[in-house]
Amino acid sequence: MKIAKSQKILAGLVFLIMLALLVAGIMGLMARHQASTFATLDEMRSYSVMATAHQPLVDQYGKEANEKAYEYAQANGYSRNQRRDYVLEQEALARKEALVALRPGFSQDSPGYAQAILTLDKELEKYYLALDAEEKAFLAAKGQEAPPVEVPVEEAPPAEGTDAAVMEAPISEDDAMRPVIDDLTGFEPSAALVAQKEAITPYADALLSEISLIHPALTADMLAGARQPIIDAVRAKGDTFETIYDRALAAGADSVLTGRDPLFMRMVREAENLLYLAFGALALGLAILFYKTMVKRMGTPRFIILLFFILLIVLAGLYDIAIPGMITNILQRLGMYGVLALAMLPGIQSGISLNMGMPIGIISGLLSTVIALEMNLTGWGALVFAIVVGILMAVPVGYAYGLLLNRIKGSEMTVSTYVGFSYVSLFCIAWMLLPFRNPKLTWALGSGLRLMHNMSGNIGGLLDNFLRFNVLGVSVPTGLLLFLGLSCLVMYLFERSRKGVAMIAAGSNPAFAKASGINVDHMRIIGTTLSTVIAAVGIIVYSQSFGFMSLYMGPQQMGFIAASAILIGGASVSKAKVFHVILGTFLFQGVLAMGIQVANAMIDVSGLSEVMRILISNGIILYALTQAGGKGRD
Amino acid sequence: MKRALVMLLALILTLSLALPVLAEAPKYKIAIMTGTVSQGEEEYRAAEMLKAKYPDIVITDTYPDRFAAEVETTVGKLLAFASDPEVKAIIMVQAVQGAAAAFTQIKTDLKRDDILLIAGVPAEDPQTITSAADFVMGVDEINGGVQIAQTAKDWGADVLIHYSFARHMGYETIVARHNILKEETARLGIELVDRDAPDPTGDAGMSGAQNFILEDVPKVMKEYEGKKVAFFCTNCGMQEALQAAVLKEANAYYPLPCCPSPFHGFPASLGVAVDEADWGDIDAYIKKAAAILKEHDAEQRFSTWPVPVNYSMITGAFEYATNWINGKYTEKGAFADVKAALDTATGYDVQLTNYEDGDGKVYPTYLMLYFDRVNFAEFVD
Amino acid sequence: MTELNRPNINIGKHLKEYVVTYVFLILSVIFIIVSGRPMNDILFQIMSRLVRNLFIVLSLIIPIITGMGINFAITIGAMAAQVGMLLAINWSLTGIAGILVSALITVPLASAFGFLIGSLLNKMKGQETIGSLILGYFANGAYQLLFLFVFGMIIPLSEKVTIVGATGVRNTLDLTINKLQGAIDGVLRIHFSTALYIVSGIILVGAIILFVTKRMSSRRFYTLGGLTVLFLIIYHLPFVQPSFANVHVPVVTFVLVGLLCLFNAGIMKTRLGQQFRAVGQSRTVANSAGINVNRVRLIAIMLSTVLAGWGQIIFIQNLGTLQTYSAHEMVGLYAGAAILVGGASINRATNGQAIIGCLLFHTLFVVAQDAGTVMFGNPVVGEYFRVFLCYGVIAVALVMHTWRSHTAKKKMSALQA
Repeated sequence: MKIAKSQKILAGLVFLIMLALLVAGIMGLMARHQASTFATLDEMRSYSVMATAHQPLVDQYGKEANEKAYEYAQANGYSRNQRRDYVLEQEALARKEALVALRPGFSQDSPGYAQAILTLDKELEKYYLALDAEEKAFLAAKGQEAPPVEVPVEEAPPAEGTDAAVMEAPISEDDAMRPVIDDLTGFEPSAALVAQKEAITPYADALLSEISLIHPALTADMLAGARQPIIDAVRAKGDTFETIYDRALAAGADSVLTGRDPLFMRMVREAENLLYLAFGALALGLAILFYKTMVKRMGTPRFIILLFFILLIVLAGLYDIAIPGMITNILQRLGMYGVLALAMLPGIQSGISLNMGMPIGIISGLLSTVIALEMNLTGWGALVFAIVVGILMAVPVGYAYGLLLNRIKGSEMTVSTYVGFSYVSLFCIAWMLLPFRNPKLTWALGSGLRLMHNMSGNIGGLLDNFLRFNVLGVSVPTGLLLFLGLSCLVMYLFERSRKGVAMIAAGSNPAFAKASGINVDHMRIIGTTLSTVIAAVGIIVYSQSFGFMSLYMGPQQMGFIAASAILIGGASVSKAKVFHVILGTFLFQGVLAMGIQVANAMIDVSGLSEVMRILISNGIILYALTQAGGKGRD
Repeated sequence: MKRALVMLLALILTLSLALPVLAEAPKYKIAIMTGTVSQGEEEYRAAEMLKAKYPDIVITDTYPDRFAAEVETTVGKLLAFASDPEVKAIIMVQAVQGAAAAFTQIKTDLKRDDILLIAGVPAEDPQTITSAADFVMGVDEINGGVQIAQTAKDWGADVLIHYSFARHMGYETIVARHNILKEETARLGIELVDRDAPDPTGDAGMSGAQNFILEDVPKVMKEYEGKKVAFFCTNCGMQEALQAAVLKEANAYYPLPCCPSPFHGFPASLGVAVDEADWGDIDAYIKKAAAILKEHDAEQRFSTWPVPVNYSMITGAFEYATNWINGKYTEKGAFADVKAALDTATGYDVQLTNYEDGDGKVYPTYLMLYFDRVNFAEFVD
Repeated sequence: MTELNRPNINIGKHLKEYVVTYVFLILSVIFIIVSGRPMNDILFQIMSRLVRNLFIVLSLIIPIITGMGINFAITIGAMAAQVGMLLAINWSLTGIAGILVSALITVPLASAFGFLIGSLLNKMKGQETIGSLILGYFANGAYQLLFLFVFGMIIPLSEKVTIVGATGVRNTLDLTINKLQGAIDGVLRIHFSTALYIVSGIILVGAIILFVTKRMSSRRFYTLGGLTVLFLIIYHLPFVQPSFANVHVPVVTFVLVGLLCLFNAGIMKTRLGQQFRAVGQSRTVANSAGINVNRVRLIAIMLSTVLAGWGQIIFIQNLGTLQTYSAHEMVGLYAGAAILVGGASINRATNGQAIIGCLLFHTLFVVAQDAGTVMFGNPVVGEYFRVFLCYGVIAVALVMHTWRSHTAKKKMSALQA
């Protein structure tokens, strides 16, 4: 594909910016190890330690004012809202006054004070290293034990750690539909560690006495109350350059810095974020460079949404949201919703457009799973049973449904929506009246199947945890993705088989297909039946991954989610490919999952995060859909 | 033309066949409107139990699952109750959208002010529902908020996460609880963090909202590593997911479900097996739940109310309505009378208060129910 | 030969053409009998539903003729109307004044929204399905942003409409306080019998005049006159009249409905109407005939959105409470189904179909309300059965309509061959 000159220039500019960011980021990271940086950081830290020492006093004033104001409000019969406003007002006032009153303490300093901080810091550093090592050993040892009955044992490894022992540990069936973080229950520090902790006490005492020398208003009692926060202000567990800097900045330490120092320290602190931005710039530059190829391959809308997705990743990095965790979630969502979206494919291809009657297939899958649960089947046996029986039940229903759809050529979508609603309600009757007796399945207060069923203990997490492995902190649900891949492969091969080709021909141009001797009606029935069968399998895959199975009104929404996924992937109501399914599910779910996390991090107003996410996310998709160009348009 | 003729014939046929049959016995009827089981079984079971016990008095019906969209159907069903001259009381739990409109129509258009109208767990704002119903019962969200904060404090939690979304924060009572939580957590020294969850009626759907909870709880626990974190969510459909997520994290706590009841979410998240013989035996159920919690080392990390509140509202309202129809009360919705009825129906000393909104307005006919929380550890052998 | 065969073919053809009407009628009759509910209650409810829904269903006609399918933008029109009603309540406007101001505010808002949606859909040709889905979510988000954050934080509102304890519009807006409830309906309410007499009178007088001035055929005159007199006689049968005892006709509302019918019919006679029809038949043909297809579609949507907004005002003022965050959900669900049941197709819809569809649809919904409960003795199963039945019947109705038009097409092509 020819790359235009303007593109090259623009991309070049972006790459230059990326290089600048990269250099700044690397410089910042390296500067973290320089002595001069440490000196400045120490200055800031002294300030924040002093501020922390003052905090209990400020807090005390604030709390007193709060209580006084509360009592006053109650005594004077304030309404709840008035009371809330009044109390907040009074507390804020008191805090401000206290801070002003305590200001003198900051202007004084002493070499003894600075030295006390440095020595305490060294001791703490040693202690925390030892603590870390012991905890890691504990987690590793836990992983190698045989898991006791029904107690969750395994957990995902820490984000940075690549401890081989932990990775090889077995995962109990009972557990992790989602990876659990380090579970330190039962951890006991060794005697040596406890002694080491005790040894820190004199250093801490020394620091406290230095502080009280500087500012006599801070009595020993007050300082005793603030002892741990002061120690943490020097160095807390898991402290990094960023956390120390942020703490100091929050205390107002930038007021002691002069000249270019504030900017320089800022750059050092943001080093990681600069690298994230560099990555973003790289992606942008590549996007500009290969714009035409990408658009040709996936269509402008997909391209725009992909860029938006990358932007979300960059924002997530900037807002300290753990990226590996997010990727784990997105991979799982891809597998969970992928097969359901795949169910739309044969429907579109055979010419019945979007199969909004997907609940029919979903319910077959739910029914077979419930039967498996009724018989108390567990593990792989239950899964295979559910899938096989689900398929067997879905075939006749899908066939009948196909016959119906053949009568209404042209209005399939509208009618199938209503048929779907109707069928869901029909089965609501069934869930209530069918003779299921297993006490785990029936309601707690009467007869009938309950609304949600727990999958852990039978098929929960089976596919997800099969051959699950971790790389760079991402926990990959191998079995789930393999299953999705397999299903897509099957569809792909079917597309190329003789029947598949006939079906696609019948769907894209019925008149021509008929003239070529293809029985269009028959092909439509095949497409519908396939769609129903895949939906049945899809809900089983979804439920085992999610951990719960939802009956009653649960199936109704799934059709819309699957439709959104495949359409966003580039399919139209008359043309679709496997590629659309995967890309669409990935983008739709990826933007959803990342969007809400980024929105929560960026926006502090309660409720506004989700609303903004809806607006921006759907707005981008709308904008993307209005852009013509490339594949994926009818 | 021909169509009209046919319709005419049908009309004649129908009218001649459907002559109203006058009832024989001059007894009274009490009508109970509940939801179906698609969102939860409590309300329906209460109605079912009362109908089985008093088949000649009780008539029941259910409002549609999609009640927000099918308001006309709900109104129609309530009006159908009122068109029966024998119906002397209508109890509606939960009083979803359309309750106020229907109640008003019953009084003004159908001119049936002889019918006692009781609403429970209203979805409409207090001003509207109290002017339409004779009295209203609700879950005490104010004291419930205090309870949530205090429970978190008792358990030593440092942080309380409040999951909600914009649409829910338009409900006056949910906002009131949130405000109380803000105040109480500040006083108790707990950090309150608001986190937005996707709206189940939005593009994520219920499945997306539930997935969010399952993904977010581990993230939050990682962010507050080493600290104890309590969780609360305002939406019913997400309780199972939240309970399941909290169960797996040793430092996570769950003070109260959004609609406090032993049956809200727990049967699914804990996988409680209830034999037919135990249907309706709340204590046996709580024991089973406690045992399962103990297996996960969680009996000190979960709590709820010991009584299914919505169930109690129906049985209490039925008791009250029966007394009212038999002329035992002089005033509609008097506090003492309602409390006595609830006490009789539940066998508890129910803590009842009048709802007072954030600006200090007291609603004499809006009564809130409160119960002390369960300590699951006490039910473990 | 053909003379002898004609009567049979007539009946068969007649049945096929009105099969949906008959199915609904038969089902309705069955359910009325099964549920055993008094007729006066049923008729009262049917009238209420007609009053609320007719206007909205009629507003769907223009976009259908323009080939844009069931205009989901009526949800957006409803949102615009709700903004209008919010402001009316906020400014403490009462009665008809409040309604008029709401309607006035609806016009620019709904037009603007309709324009935006129309432009968007025009740009997304071929992807309208996903476009409408996402647009729905986007609109909901924008609505919440407006009502929960803009109103309250940026634009202050009176405490009459604000959530107690927070900013933002409260969940439920009570229309009875400002006498907005029934503001339109309540202007003039006459009993059904009065309405029947008046309408019959008008029809008879009109028919006589037309017959005398030779503008109506005698056969037509006698059929029309005969039917009207028959209706009047039936009404006076002993068991009919009390059934209608509770039924009151809100005159103004029906006048508005009538005006909309006239508008729909009238606009189709204008050049714009012809353009609507042309675009609905075939976009490419219309394009080559020199019609600005995009512009025509835009106008269609804008008109429909405004009308739907007004329809929502009628709906809400009849109901009496405005559920701020879910009222607009009510609109889209039924209006489309109603007009489809009436026989509308992809690009053809008439006033008659809308009215008949509305009547049949809501009659079925009313009588099926407790049919399930009575049949199964279990209200939960009964409610599920009602949903199953109602949506199932709609689906069947659509199947029959499509089947009918397919067979009609086949016959046409067979005749042409």
